[in-house]
Amino acid sequence: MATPISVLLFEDDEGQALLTKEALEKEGFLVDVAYTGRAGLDRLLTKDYSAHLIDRQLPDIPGIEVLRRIATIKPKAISIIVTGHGDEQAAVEAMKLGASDYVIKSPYMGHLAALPVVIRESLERRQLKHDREELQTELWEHARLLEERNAELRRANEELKRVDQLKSDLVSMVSHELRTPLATIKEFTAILIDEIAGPVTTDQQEYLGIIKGNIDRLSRIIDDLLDMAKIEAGRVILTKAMVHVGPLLEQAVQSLRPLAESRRIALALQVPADAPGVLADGDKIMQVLVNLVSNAIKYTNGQGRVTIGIEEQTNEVQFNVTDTGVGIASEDLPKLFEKFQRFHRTAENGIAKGTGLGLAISKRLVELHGGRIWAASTAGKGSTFSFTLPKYHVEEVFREYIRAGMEEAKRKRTHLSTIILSVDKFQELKALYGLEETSRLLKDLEVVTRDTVRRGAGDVVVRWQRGEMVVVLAEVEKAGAQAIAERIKRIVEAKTFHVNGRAVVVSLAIATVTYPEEATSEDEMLRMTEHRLQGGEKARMRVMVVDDEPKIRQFLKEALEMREYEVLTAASGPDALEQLTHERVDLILLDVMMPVMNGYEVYHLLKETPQTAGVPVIIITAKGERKDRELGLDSASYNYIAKPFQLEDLLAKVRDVLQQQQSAKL
Amino acid sequence: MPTLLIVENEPELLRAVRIRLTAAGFTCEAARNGREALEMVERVHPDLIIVDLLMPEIDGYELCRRLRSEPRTTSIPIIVLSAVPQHAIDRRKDPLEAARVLHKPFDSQELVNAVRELVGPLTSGGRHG
Repeated sequence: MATPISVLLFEDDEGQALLTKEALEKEGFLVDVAYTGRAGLDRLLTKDYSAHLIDRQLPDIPGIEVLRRIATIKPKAISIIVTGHGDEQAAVEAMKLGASDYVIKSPYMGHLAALPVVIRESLERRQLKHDREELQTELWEHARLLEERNAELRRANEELKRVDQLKSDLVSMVSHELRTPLATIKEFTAILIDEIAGPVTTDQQEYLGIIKGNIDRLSRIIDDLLDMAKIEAGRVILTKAMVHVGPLLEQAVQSLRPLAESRRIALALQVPADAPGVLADGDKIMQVLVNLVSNAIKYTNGQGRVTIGIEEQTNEVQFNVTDTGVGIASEDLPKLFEKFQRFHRTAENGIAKGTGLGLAISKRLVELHGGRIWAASTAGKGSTFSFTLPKYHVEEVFREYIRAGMEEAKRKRTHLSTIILSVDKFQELKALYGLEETSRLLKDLEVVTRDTVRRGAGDVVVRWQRGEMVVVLAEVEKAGAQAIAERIKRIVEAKTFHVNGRAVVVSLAIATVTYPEEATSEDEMLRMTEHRLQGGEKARMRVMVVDDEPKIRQFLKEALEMREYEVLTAASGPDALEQLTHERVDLILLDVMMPVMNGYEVYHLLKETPQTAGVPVIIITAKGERKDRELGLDSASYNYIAKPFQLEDLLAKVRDVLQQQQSAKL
Repeated sequence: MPTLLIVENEPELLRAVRIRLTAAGFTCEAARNGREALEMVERVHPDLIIVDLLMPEIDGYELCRRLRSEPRTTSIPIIVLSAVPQHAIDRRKDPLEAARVLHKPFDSQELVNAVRELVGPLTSGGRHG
């Protein structure tokens, strides 16, 4: 139970005091009575009350004055003024002085019933006010703390910035201060080596060679230190683009072939012809590859072999650099990628020594790409250094191709076209032969397509798992793209492919999009190409069924969904029209006999609305109910099927209409 | 013989470059900063100028800019020899208008090759001969 509320009553009239006390105590209040203002105020010195009820007219001190004093000594208590009839003005005055409320005495003491409520409400209001104030104070305190913390953070941040700036200034200053004397040493050494200053003995030549080798090493260390400082300061920004793994590895091998030959190390590249692309900063990946391969060459002695290969995995491409060198002790493997770690892998004399930073830099560069790097080794047998780069989804690659192509096209003010090829009935093929076999078929198709479009750089084929391919053609206009698309179609359809030992003939649906004739921006290019891609696939087709009969709606919905159409349903014409304001569909099946608005009316409204005017409609009529001529409909412009129909006939009709629509888009 | 003007504030490096290019068959003149270089250009009419970037008074960037904006010197090829890393050069708002940028410590042969390429073969005895 809650603690009883204590009340001090200021009342000079004994009868009224008694009645009030009784009324309140009946409600669970504890009541003390003071018959004069003075007596009450004295009592307040020794006891606290939750509430004070003050009669306005006390014999010694006016009630208003008592109120004022209580407000001064007990600012948190509540006081309620009790006045006689006709004294409302005074009551309002009291409120201004801090009374929580006022009660007007009624001649028959009717006001007593209201008193408990008035007191409780006043206390509640007080509590609320108190809570609010506390909350406010808390908020202010929070705000102040926050402001303080912000100021601290700002200071710390500025300090960090200053330190960072100092560090980068220091690094660049040091590098500058080192490079100039190094250049002088290098120049004079070269002058001596080249005998510009006079003949040099064989021994002296050798010593000068050692000096030169160390100067070169020192300058590599400076380069690596700068690289490392840049990476650690977060100032390396990757310039990602589609990088073809094959040519990249080829280039790395080419640049290191002289080193390998000088060490009589065989350098082998094992890359499949259909190596995937990665979205990466080519220069940085090159740096990593050169580092790993040159290490492998350096730490492999006489007659050894260094092999560079890739493994395509589900989500990443793994690069492996394998040598037949001395190997690395297993306890050294984890420390390999730390800064300035050099182990008991000593390269032979005359081989440029490392900087102690190469692997640490490689690690960070790979990690910046979201990949991993590691080494495995068997002492005496050799090591394999591997790193991975995330493989990108075909969609991302496709977007990247379009982005790069559009950039080029805009810069050169020329055309960019895409050809969208999709294999008819790919889903069926997939169901029939399985994913693996059909993937192989797609690969074969890709090869044929590549051979057909081959006209130099910039043309790319992307393989889509849904049986689709996109060819991006730089500097090809609409007519050219269509000619190429038709050529691909002709060649592919004339060919026999083999799936699981069986001869398969493939038919292709083709579409093209061209910038700037059709698509005017990168965004549109993407959207239109993607839309046409999806258009090639039945599963993505959306059909709306408009019929007032729930059973028929459900039946058609299920039948169509089983055939991988996406189905929307509407129970009436207005329902359909409403949905179509925000839904895109490829086909509408429209029942004629509907209440509210019949199918013909709906048809007209559909054709009058720009968003739906181009959507084909199949009208479902009862036999002998065709009224198209009467209604001024040109039968060539719409399709109809008469009830009762065979489901097969309807589905065939749906397929035909969608296919017509598809080829009309080309 | 083609005349080269070498602008470098590090006297010992200047000396090394001078020895190297003289041995390669060029007449070399030297300036220790951009201001001196601008005076020298008027006097010696160089066929090519080799410029350090960080120098007192007028630095290499400013020197290149002035040489390019002056009609009489605008076509003289410039090779920049710099200790400033390429990314720092690329970050500047005004592009460095030099035919070639070599980074210190550079390769002497690379420097000689660059000079030969830019002034042409050493047969006619220079452009002012």
